[in-house]
Amino acid sequence: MIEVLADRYVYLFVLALLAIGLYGVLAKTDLVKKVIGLVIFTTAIYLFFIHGSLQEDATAPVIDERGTDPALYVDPLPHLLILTAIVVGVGILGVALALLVRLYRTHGTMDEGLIVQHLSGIEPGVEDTAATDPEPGDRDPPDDGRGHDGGHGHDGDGA
Amino acid sequence: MTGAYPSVVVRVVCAVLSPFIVMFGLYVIAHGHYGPGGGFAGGVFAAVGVVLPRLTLPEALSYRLVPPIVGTLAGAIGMLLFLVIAAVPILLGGAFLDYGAIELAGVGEPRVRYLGILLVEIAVGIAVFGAMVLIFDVLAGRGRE
Amino acid sequence: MIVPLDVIIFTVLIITAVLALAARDLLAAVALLSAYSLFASLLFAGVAAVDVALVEAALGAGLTGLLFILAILATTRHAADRRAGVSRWVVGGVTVVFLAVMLYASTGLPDRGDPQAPAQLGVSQTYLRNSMADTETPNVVTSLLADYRSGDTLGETMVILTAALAAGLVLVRRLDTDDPGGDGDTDGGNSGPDGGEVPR
Repeated sequence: MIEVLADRYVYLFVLALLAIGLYGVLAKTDLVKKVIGLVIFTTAIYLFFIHGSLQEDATAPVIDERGTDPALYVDPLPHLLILTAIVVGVGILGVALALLVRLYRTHGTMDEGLIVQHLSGIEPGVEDTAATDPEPGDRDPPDDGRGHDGGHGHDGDGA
Repeated sequence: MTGAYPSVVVRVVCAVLSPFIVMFGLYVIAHGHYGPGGGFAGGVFAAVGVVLPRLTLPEALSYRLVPPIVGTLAGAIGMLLFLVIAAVPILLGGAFLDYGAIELAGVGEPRVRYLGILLVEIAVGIAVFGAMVLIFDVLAGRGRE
Repeated sequence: MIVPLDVIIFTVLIITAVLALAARDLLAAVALLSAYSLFASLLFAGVAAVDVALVEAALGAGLTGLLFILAILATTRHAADRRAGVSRWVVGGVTVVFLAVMLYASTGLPDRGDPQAPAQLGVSQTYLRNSMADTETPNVVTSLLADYRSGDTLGETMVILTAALAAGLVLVRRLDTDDPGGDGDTDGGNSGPDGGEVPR
């Protein structure tokens, strides 16, 4: 039992982090909290991936005077993949936060449920998003007359 | 958040520090062959060196030093540089992105690849720098002037 | 890496993750998230992934928090923690099922640091052997990034640039208007997601 734990404790910790992130994405109603859960989830995946590159008694993948024996260095391929994934993740985070700011400007709230209510026209309190088209279940807010020719105008559809 | 910070200590320290941060970013890009670093990390460091004055110095000053258009421009230039580097070997009979096909007088193929890696790292660094500055400017509400 | 230190950092990671999700003040949550990323970068450095640790420390712990703070200051600081929508029991059930499936899947994974793991025996051995001869570059991650797998890098750079431009297109159109409520069209519509007026 102890040996199994000593060999595999990384998986248990990564699984715990994945579960925390998933719970945050699913259970939190605040959209910023959802994005925070997403970041926790992706970082846990990075940790899992990088731990897959680990070898006992190996050093960082920078070739030095000991030669080019692959057993001396850790696997560099996961490093490359995760390196680019982190940078792309920040780009995606930028888009997500821009969409959040846009949603807040339109609906005045960060609460997922309230935004869905506004979009479906249950509470016609918001200026002109729900006024022109009161059909419930319409996920695409009417974009003041230009939104109903299809193909574009999905900018408010982030919920 | 953005704009002049109330404390003069913070303002002066950030103003003094930011050129060195940009320089450290350039070092990380150039030193990627021999140690940790490369285009992605170096581009991010250089972007931090630009973002720091925007957080602490008066907006008129920091946005005149590095105008908001720099983000878009650097991203586009970096991407274009990368594509040009990728396309040049095709003209010389090689494959896409195969810089080893470029023949330089008196330089072996490994050295050409070494130089190609350096150029690609620089291009990636410029593009990442531009993208990060652009995202910051957009979220800070100064995306376009 | 020293295993007990590893375990301590993982415990700190779990604590910061839980607190970041539980905090009602969003700025506190973002600060905890930055701490989470910083400890994750310590772990990366501990398993000899130095390049990843450098990028994670600069991006995950630095710029990510900054972008979150900018977004929070542009919106609101207090988390909307309404008990609504999907029931917590449903979410808890989904999470438990996910955990069970993943735990079952992890039994097929190799042990920590096993040099005979399938992932270690593949193409990366070739990269490690030939990097110096092919490119004179000691840092194999760099030669992978810019030579062996430069097509990958080309795509990733394009994705980052596209993401940044998309963020700009989502937000910038409404800067020159003063009505924060409505979704009214403005004269600056030429850079919006709609790509300007559609000639019909």
